Amino acid sequence: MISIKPNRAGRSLRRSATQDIKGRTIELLLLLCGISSVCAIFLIIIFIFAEGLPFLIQAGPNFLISSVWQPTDNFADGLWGIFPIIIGSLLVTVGAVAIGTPLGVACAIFLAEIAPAPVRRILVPSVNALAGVPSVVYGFFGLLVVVPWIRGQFGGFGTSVLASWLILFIMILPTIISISTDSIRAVPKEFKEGSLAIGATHWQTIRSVLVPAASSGIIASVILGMGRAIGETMAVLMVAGNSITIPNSIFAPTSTLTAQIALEMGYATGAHREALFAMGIVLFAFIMILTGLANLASRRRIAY
Amino acid sequence: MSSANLSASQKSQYPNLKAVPIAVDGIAIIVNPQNNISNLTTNQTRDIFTGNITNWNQVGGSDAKINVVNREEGSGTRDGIQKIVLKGGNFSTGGITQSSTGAVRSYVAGDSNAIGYISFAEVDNSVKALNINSVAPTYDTIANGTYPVQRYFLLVTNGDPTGNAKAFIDFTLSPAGQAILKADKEVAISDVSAK
Repeated sequence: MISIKPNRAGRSLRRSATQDIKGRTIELLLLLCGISSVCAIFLIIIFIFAEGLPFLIQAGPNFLISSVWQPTDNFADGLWGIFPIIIGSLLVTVGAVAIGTPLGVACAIFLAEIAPAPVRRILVPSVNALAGVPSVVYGFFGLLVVVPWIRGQFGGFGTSVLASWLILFIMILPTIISISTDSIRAVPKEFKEGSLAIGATHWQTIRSVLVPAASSGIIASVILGMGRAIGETMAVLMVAGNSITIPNSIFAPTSTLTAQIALEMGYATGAHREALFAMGIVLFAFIMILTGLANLASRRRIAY
Repeated sequence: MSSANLSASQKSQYPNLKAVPIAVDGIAIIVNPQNNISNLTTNQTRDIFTGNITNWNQVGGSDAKINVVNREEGSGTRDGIQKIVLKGGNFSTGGITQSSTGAVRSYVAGDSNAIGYISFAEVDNSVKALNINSVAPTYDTIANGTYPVQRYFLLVTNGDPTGNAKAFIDFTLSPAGQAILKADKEVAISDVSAK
């Protein structure tokens, strides 16, 4: 007995020593991965600011509030107002989210609470597949189907605010649906059981217990969807019309920050290029605000 | 390759840039084949793109709003239209912007009220190239300068070309290279009348 004990202890000590080295190596590798991705983000931020900030300072607040965009490669020769582009970005994003949210949340409630297992087995992969379709494919679909339809029905160019909404809301659905579904599922079972036990119907339980309890997750999903919408480039570039005016109707063309950067980056030199980076800073600010809001929303958990 | 002349600030930033013209390219003003307009003057074209003319009936067409399709800022084709047709004036903001020649062409092909501009070499049956001042864009009218909307294609090097870059430029300017450009409806430098 006495001779075995230290033996066992010694063996387990040796094992733990080698495991310890392995474990520490893996921890170190993971740390390096973490640090490198953080570094990448910071390098990108530094780069965008280094390229765009001098221009932003030179152009001043006019950059944000003036409406004439006539870029040239020489600062003094150009007119640098991106106000209509900011409005376009916000308009396109808000509209897509306004259409996508009720549909997405309804779909999430259906998937989490109502859909029988076989239906769920078909719907969940389909929603995930929506997330996997490249944005250029959405854009092409919009250009060939949605834009000519709008042109035929309502006149004008067809490339419009409406076309951007119709394409974008489909693109943000997977984000809203999957995160909302998860957060509804994450509501403790006792909530639902308690509600049913005191005589509430299934629908009353969904409306008055499950959705309110999952609201922080649902709000986070909507804000993340908003981030996806404001950041979307290719599909919007193809269907928005890229016209730098404040649209006077939903059938008028518009432009977004991302689309404008992508559109003009190819040929931009000198001050024009710097202006596009300055636009990137504005976009970055928008996305930081949205991400911050999403974090706030998801942290505001209802006390279970 | 550049389809726009080097700007003053590009030259000052990179003083060693050398540009070699390799071909002349016509810029066709294109409309939908269903459009009954087949000729515009340079002034009418200018007024359409600056937004002074907004309805096809102002230039003898049917009563329909003109849907102007532009290329993006920085595009050589846009630059060519701005310098030659707009005489430095500004494009109206009422039009839409497409990111490539193909996108402009397919938009115009699908919208009976649209007008756009693309390289003459890229015109096909899906769109109609307008006569400008009653001159149709053809190889000969571009070469002899009677078709007014045209620009040089340039090969640009930083400093005098050497090595492979020089070999490529020499080949492009050789009869064999120019024949390839000609086959693509670009006007060979040797065919261009002195301007």
